[in-house]
Amino acid sequence: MNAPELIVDGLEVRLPGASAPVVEGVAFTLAPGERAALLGPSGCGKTTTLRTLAGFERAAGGRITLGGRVLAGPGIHVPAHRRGIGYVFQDLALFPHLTVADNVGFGVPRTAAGRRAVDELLALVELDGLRGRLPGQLSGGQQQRVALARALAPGPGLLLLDEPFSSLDATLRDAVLAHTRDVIARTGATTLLVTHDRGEAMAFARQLLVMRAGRIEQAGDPGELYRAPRTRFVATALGAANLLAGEAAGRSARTALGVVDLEREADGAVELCLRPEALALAPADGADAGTARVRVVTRAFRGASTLYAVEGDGLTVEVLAPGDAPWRPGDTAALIVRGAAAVLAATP
Amino acid sequence: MWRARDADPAAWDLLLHPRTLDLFTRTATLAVAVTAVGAVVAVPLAWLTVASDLPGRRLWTVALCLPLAVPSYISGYVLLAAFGDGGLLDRWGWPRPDVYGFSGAVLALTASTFPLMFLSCRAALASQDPSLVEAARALGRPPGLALAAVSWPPLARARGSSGLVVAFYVLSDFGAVSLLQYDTFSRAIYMQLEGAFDRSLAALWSLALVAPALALLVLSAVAARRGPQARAGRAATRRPRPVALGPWTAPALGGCALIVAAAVGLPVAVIGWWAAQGGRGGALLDPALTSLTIAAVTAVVTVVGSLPLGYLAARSPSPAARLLERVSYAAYALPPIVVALSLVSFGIHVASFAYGTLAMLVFAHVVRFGPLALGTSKGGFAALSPRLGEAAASLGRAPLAVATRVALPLLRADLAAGAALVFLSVMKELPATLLLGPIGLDTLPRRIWTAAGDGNFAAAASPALVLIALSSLGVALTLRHERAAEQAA
Repeated sequence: MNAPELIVDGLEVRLPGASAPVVEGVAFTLAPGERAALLGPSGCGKTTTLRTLAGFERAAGGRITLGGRVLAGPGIHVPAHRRGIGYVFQDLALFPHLTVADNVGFGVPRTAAGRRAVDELLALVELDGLRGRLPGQLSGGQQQRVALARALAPGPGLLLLDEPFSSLDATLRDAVLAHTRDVIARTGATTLLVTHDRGEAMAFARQLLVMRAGRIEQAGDPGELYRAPRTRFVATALGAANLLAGEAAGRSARTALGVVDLEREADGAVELCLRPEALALAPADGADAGTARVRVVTRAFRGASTLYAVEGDGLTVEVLAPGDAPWRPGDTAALIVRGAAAVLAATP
Repeated sequence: MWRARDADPAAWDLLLHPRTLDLFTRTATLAVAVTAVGAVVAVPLAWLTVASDLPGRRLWTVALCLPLAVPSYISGYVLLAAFGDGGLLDRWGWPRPDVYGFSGAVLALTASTFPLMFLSCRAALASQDPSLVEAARALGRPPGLALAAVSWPPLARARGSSGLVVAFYVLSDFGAVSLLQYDTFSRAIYMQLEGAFDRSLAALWSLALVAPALALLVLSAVAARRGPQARAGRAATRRPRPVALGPWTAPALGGCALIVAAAVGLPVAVIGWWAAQGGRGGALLDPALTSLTIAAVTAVVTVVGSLPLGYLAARSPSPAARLLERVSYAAYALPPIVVALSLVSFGIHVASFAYGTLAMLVFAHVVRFGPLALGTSKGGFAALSPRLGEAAASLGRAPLAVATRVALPLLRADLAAGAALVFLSVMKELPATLLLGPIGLDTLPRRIWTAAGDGNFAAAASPALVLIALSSLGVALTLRHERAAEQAA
């Protein structure tokens, strides 16, 4: 199947009863077959964006183009049932009165080809044996697979997923996510996942869009965004972050933790982000005179790793140490900066 | 209202006439008495069937709901057939209590309404989080006091709000007070209309009746809004340990048996006895078929009409939709005699071509019972997630296909429940049938009414049995629907 390209440009959405737009100036492009995730806190407009792409909400401004066809724009609003976009709902929205096979077959014509498509998808999501069951008789993971198969059955070029894993318990979530990713990869559809869970977003997506207050704050490869966030919001949205002030000169800066390397060149007063794993603790007595001395405040043992909060020079930072790290609250240690710090744009 | 305007200016003075004041006092006294007696009966029964270890609690609960299936005019008929002139005791030459007037009206109406309070109090007690009692005990209250401290507020609230509903029922009641010859507004309005003395006076009294009725409804709406206090924390799934009655078991059982005997056993025995006497009541088939037809047509019309209204009420946030919903509930919020009266005026002055036809009667039923169907349709739409429609749309289905393939199959149960409720309510409706039906119309309620009024108790017995059987179905359906709604909430 030839997946289409999705182009969103200057999208603005207003919901009834709200004075300010919920989504404003959102622009991004998904290449054919791209697998992307829209990450943001609840209420940031990410689900509204997704619902507008599907045609459930009307765009107040901007343009949505899928495979060269304008779905929304000035004077244009293609209704949801003519868009050919697959949608997996947060609550799955399976038709409770229809069997698994009828749910999956709901959007395909009742022809030999349609039945074949249903059979193939049921096999793909490994639900062959349950085709006669009603949704109420399935487990959460099975229901999730029915919803995915149903959305994929008509062969949509674009698949939208609205927090489809949030109702699953944590132990099941990783496996279902991996399975979903594989099934989608086989169909080749262009895919956009909405989630507030950064782990989910980074594990799923090849392109990550971080959304804040109705706008996209930064977009790019998940690893790149994690390593070099450009704002404080993106830095904390993607993981634990130690934020500290520094005086930059080229590729390094002076900070309360000593001199640290920088991800990019900067000059003057800057705000920096250092991930806890870019820091390490060492015995206080064996360290160089130049390294900072810190006092351990709290210790959270996590098996493979231990997370410390340490304090020095009035600054408290988090350090991710190996699981067998020996320090206890009250101990003194040397703090070593191992990685480069991201330079954040001055944020309001 | 518009009838009242036509009244002779002097008639306005009648609003302050001794007769009006007298009617008001009599109506209010009856409402207070029925509510008070009902509370005295209902609260202990509710507590016994929910919180104690009374043997056969489930069975008692069902038995105590059964009186809901007896329309008040049948309660009135039962009292007459047992204790009235030419009744059972009279026939056997036994001494008999005086059931005409106030005491009989209180008895008949209490018998028909106390289950409403019973159910409401039960629900309040049953929805209590048992850990509240445990918390009170952990804070040092002895078991009895802990229970009282925790149970009393919701119980008082339930008793208050259901008391308002019962008072409204009493204000609206026409059948029992008329048969037992206790003058209230409803009966006086009917007498004025039937005697054709003065329609304007009837209209004025209607206004005088609507005012307190509306006040009661507003009060009960306020009470409902204050509603059951939200539970803090997770809903408990555990049932509390029932309170042991010990030596009180026998008196408690006796009390329950007495109430059930009076409210269920007596009507069944009396009607059964009269039915066995036979009588020149004529064939039941014709009136039964007429009632069935009218009820079925009304049910279909209301349910079809309730679909767009129910959809708007459940989905549309616009003020217009809310107003539309309120207006359609209005007729249900008015005493039925008033609705019937206004339609009589409407028929005479505006739609004279339809006056006295079956179509007019069906229209009256649709106006009055439409809200029952609207309620269930709205509930159905509200329970239907908008996501399902969106899911169908995203799968390429046009709106019409969404309605027929997703919405209707899922609403089927709610629509059927609405239709059944309307059907059964129409089957036993009395005042509109009396005032608006074509001359010579023969339905089951009319037959009971006429026969009971003439003292021909045997002729009323078989139609009464049929009606009670039918409305038992309605009660079972309502209870099931409410339980389902509670579980869904």
